[in-house]
Amino acid sequence: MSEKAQTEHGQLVGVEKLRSSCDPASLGFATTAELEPLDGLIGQDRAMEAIRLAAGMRASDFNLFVQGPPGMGRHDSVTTYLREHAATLAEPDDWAYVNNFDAPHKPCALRLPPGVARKLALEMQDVVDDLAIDIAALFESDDYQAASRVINEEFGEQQEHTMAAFAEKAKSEDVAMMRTPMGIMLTAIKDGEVVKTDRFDALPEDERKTIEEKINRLQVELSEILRNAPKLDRERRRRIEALNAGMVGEVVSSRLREARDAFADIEVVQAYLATVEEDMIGNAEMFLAVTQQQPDGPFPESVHKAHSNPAFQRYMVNVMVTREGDAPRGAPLETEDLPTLDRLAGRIEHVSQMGALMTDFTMIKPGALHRANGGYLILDARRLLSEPMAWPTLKQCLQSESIPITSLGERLSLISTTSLEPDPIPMNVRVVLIGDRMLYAMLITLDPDFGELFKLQADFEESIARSDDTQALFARVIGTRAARNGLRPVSAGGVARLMDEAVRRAEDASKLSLHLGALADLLREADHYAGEGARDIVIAEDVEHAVQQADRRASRIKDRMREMVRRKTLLIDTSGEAVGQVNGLSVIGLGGYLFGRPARITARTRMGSGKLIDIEREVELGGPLHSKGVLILSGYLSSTYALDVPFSLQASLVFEQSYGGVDGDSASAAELFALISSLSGVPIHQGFGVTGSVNQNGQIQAIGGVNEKIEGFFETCLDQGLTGDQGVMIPAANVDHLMLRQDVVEAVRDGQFRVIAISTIDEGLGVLTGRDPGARGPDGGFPPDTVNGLAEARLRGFAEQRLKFSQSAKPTGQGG
Amino acid sequence: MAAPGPGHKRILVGAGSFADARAALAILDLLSGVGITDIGGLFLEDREVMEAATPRTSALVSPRGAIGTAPSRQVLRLMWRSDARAFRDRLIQLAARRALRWSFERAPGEPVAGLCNVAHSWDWLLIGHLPSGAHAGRVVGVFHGAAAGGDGVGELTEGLARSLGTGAELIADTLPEADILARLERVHAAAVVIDAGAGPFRTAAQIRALLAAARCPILVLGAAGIPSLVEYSTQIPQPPPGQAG
Repeated sequence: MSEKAQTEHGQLVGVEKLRSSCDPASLGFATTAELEPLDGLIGQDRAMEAIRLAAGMRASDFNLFVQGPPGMGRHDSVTTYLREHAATLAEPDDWAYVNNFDAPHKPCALRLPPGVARKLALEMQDVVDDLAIDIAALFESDDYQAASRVINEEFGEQQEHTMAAFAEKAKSEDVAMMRTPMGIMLTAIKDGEVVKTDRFDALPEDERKTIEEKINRLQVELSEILRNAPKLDRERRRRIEALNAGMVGEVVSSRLREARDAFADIEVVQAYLATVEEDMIGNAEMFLAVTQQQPDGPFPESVHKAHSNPAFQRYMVNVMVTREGDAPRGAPLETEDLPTLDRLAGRIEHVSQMGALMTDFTMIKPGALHRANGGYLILDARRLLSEPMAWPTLKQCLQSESIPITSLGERLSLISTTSLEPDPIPMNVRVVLIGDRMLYAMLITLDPDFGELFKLQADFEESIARSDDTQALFARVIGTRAARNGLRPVSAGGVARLMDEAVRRAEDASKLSLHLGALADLLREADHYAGEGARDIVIAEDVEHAVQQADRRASRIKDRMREMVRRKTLLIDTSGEAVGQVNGLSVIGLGGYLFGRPARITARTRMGSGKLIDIEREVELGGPLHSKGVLILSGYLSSTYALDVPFSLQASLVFEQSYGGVDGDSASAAELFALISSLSGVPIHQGFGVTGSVNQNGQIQAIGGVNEKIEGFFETCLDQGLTGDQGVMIPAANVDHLMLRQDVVEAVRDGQFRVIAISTIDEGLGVLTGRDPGARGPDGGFPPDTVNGLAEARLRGFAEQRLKFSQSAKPTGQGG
Repeated sequence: MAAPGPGHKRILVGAGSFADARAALAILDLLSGVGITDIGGLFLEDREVMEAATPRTSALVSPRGAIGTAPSRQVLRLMWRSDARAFRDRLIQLAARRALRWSFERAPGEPVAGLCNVAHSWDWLLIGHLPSGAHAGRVVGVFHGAAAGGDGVGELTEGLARSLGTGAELIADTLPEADILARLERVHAAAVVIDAGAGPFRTAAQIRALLAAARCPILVLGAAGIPSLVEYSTQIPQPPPGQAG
């Protein structure tokens, strides 16, 4: 079989189309050090427009989902843009929680101007510290002592006067007051002695009645006096409290007036301080009690920090979010790498007291939503979705535009202890989720809330059209990354080699891959080799070395498979001819590493009822796409050959020595070639590897992984010896995707290997068999000696054979 | 509290009910730095109360003003026993806390007279009486002579007042006894301090009148000066020679 014969049907792909290398000379610079830095991304206009829109709109439901594969620079670009944009926005207000003096389990949220929350917190600490000293001094002052003593003595003497008068009266009426364990016993006396029963009985009736009457009367009077004592004491306490309120009120009001003046224009602080004043006056004794508990330490009373005493926590300010002095101006931009429920929406901590878990408003801790309030929050979608209750909580916050704080245990009713119901803080946060396309598809499909809350998507392109302009931009991106990562400048040759790698990763000679993360990894490795070589710049050889080393590190399985083919453990022929047998090409992917390998496909045919058996599908090793491809073959055969007779073929197809799953339809053309070969009995040249899918009209369609497939078959041929007759047949539509390794290109240039593009099955049959495939003539039939003619004749033979068989098996109808 | 100079003071606390005893022990607990080494408790059961407790000639009013009939003898005995036990327990607790020697005895008799009868073997007496009111009144001292301080009454009075967080009032015994009693009738007092060895209140009758007027615990210094009417017992031993009040 001559080269001419093999190629007159397909199109021999020229060397120049096998690898569209970038010419370093066309870049116009020596090293990237000469280039202007280029921050941001190239080729992501669509995504950046979405990001800009999300940043600018303040509607709560225009949140953004940034989708695309990792390594596209999604995080960097979103963060960079939002940081710049946030700096132009107004600073959001501070938020703080303070005690609710009426309902301590429902802390109040205070909205304060930027930077005020911390000042207010410090002011309240000072207020408590000052009052702890001032109020204690007040209670110890002579003024207070004298005033309180006057009240105590007034009431004490009032009671004593009453008792003294009663005692006098009782004495004057000859009644003694005797103390007993049960109380005071009033008893009649006569002539200085107690009137005992026998003496009483001897008295005249009227005198006895008089004694009984006065005893009863005095008993009632004494009872009234003693009953009145608690009332008097209550009145005394009220007077003391009024005294305390009056004197303490002056001290508290005086100190809080200073605080009010410090926050004169802030109405909410004025209102809060009014409630504080009322509570402080009502609980003035707390200051005294705490001061008296202070141990005598080495420091004078004036430096005691009373605000750290738990009793005064009620007057503290729990700053949830504030703008510190050295914080960047503008709106906040927050990220949360571990978006648990607590870290997202805040939490309420507890402390153990006497075995019970206790909490108060000072133990409310902010979450990422609090910190990002008024600005932007960037979250990794996968991490968010993998944290229990985090996603429902985020949705709830976005829907209600507020941040309620509820612990996981509380939501799941796992714990029963004292808890709080803080005022929800109003929320205005633009949430940006970054995830892959699968996550986006699942969320938009399965979660009806997602579409409502995340109305914007930024879909990152994976490649960019290749042109002089984009190559120039690409070079600047490489230079910028090198500089930012502290790497050596890259020579023009190095940039060109990186660009070649970008083209290969794009699987399209007319495009550049935008997987900048992977290219940056390659650049860093190349920089390492440049360092080992004591070079000041990264050159093409460094990049090439990095590519080879990365390939070598990942190629253990590929090498083992090559070895198995070499040793005939896996049967692949790269020379000779065989009927019903063709070399299909498949791609195996492991992580980010892809490699191609040939697989023997065989077909067997015989008379039947039109059934095409896909053995892979029968044993459930074939995927749905593969099955679809095989069924298309059946459609092609039945609509191409022997149209006037029943389709009377039974055929079987198999990937030989394939023990794993097979999917995709890229081998359907190869399977069809094997079937037609088997039908026609025309052998196929085994020096070819074939890839491409086919439709029912016999047109060859593009497939993926074309470079790896060609290289995989090339390596097999190389191992078995290059003959010059070998090559790979690919769909013509894939020619633009070629970016082959340099060694393959060299082999083609040297005439040792070929790449042939085909557009139809007939072209492929011509290449593989070296014979005319045959086209239908004016009589409607294929020429007899052509591949198609032989195949049709065989099928017609099957139909006739089947007809004869059915006639011979038909019953005569003569039964008796 | 600041107090007179150190010594080996023996104090006898007497009361006819636990309520009165508790008020006295509260005052005793405030006495520190005065060299107390022994405390004694004497619970006195006034049998005259038993005799007087008849339904037609007597009536009862509780400390909070509840009206009741005079208790029966059996009830009185039970109450005395219960109060005596509580008094003893509280005394033991205080002695243990302060590392003091203690003794306790129940005896029949009117409280003031009973205490005065055994007073000569003790340095100080503390006569229990529940004061009125929930807050502490002032501490009143009746001092001997023209100026306070010489007999220790003044310092004790001031010290107790400081400990109670209240005021002190010192009355000179140069005033007629009736005037002093009249003054005490109207003062809301937490305690009264007197010196039986030097002041006008020396006999049981005088001290009883003082107690009736003051209606609060009375701390009697110089108890050895009070005339004794009873023999020593095993529970109330004779004092060591040379340690009288």
